[in-house]
Amino acid sequence: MLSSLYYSFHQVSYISFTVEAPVFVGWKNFSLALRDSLFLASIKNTFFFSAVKTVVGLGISLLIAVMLNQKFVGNKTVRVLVYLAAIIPMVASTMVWAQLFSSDFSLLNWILSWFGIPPVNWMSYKNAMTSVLIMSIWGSIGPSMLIFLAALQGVPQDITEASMLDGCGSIRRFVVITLPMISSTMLFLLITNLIGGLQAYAEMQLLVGLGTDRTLTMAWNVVLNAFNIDGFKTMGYASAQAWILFAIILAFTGVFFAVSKKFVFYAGGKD
Amino acid sequence: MIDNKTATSMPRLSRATVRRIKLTALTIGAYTVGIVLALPFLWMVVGSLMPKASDLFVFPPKLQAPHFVNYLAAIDYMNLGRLVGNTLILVVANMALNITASVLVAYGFARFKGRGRSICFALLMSTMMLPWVVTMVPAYMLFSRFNMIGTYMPLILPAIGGTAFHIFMMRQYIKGIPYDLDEAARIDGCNSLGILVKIHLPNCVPILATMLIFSFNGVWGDYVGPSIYIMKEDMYTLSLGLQKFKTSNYTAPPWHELMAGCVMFGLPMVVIFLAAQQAFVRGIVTSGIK
Repeated sequence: MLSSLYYSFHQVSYISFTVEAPVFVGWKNFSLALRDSLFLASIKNTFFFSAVKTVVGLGISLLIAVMLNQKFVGNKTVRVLVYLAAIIPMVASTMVWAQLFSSDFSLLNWILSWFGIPPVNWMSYKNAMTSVLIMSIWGSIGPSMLIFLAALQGVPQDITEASMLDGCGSIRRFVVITLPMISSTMLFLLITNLIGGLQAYAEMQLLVGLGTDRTLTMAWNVVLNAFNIDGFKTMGYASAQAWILFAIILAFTGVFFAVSKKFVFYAGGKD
Repeated sequence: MIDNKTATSMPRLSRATVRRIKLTALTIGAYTVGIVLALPFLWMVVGSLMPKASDLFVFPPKLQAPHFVNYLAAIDYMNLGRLVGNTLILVVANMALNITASVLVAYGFARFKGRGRSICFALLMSTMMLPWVVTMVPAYMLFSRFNMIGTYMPLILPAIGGTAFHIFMMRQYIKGIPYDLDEAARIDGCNSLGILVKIHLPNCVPILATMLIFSFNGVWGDYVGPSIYIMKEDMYTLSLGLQKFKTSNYTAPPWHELMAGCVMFGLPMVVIFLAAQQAFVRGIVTSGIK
């Protein structure tokens, strides 16, 4: 009964979506969006952001998870240290990063100077996207790492031991046994990270402030259009953009699931 | 589950030294990674204790007596008491509604058979994939029809439906409770709701803790929701208040006080994480194992 309430709630919001736009404009909003150069730039930015964040973030998370899967003294402390990044609320963490990235001589540039790298202007038009990426990768490592770690600990010991007896080196063992064993987790993380990245908004807005054609993302663009000075006039336009974003996400997930059927191994058989 | 017995390898074989060196290298490497990743966090704490904002730009950092006055200044400037109060209203309302609803719905999905149950469940799960931007516009219009813009209602009412992720987690957990318990209770004259309250909930304490933590964190740190619906400054939540503190007009932002604000903002989450690590990790891990 409560779940039906839940659905009805959702449905109501969709009904209002069509009712509140009394002037039927057909595909006008959509065609408008596809000719809007800022919107097109935002698609490019979003894909770039999402892809880089997912690949680099998951790579680092997996590496750390493999490290923490070994037994050594203080293993738990390191886990907490790695996870700290993900605990602080977004507004607070972007503020810290805004300080680290600030144009004055900051901690980050000081550390870079140890390695002979001249100060970087992190917030410039060209570098802003990289800075946002560094910050969000940093924030995403904790949870991904924990999920990888749990998956790694789920890899049956007998298989790894058997391969060791067969003379399998540690790198080969990782590629041939561990990676396939955790492939379902990998797929899950890939999809959730990609989807999350495609919806990125708050971190950009909070860190960069003004969206240029190098940093504006699709979700940000939608919010801007929905709540600009014209207000409700562009609400319809904003929803058209939101639906394009949704369609892209759906298509992505579909393709991923289709492709993954070939590669992903489910230990307990197909679900 | 995650096992943390730190078993150092015993030097037994001739290869023991090699192993030891490897282990030391691993330990050092892991600590380096950990510290590098925690650096912004540590910097936040250090920065919050500096006497002047400009001290955050002096390198190498000078060691100075911690300046706790920054915290008082930040509390004063942001009117922290009111911000915390406002945020707590949202947090408590959300937690109560969300958890009650999620538990009830999860119980339904776990224990009652009805036509279309699996379709409903799939539909519910698919809402997790729905991007928030898609629902944002219609939700905003809906709330504006009820004249709720600028109130807390748009940030509280959606919790009545529960959260797909919590429902999923809870359902998995209830499914793991043996049916025998239900039947025994029923024979003793317990009705369905009684079974949920008296039999299942006591068994679900760990997962309830996880849900509590996650809904707390979600609302406490939320920025997007309040930034859309809240306009009046005396209704600001912590996220908005802190952001306002940063963007208000200064020749140079008072970084040391801002950092103090950040520390206070993040503190409850760090405390919860350290105190209830197990429940925390469980929540993240169940989201990954499907």
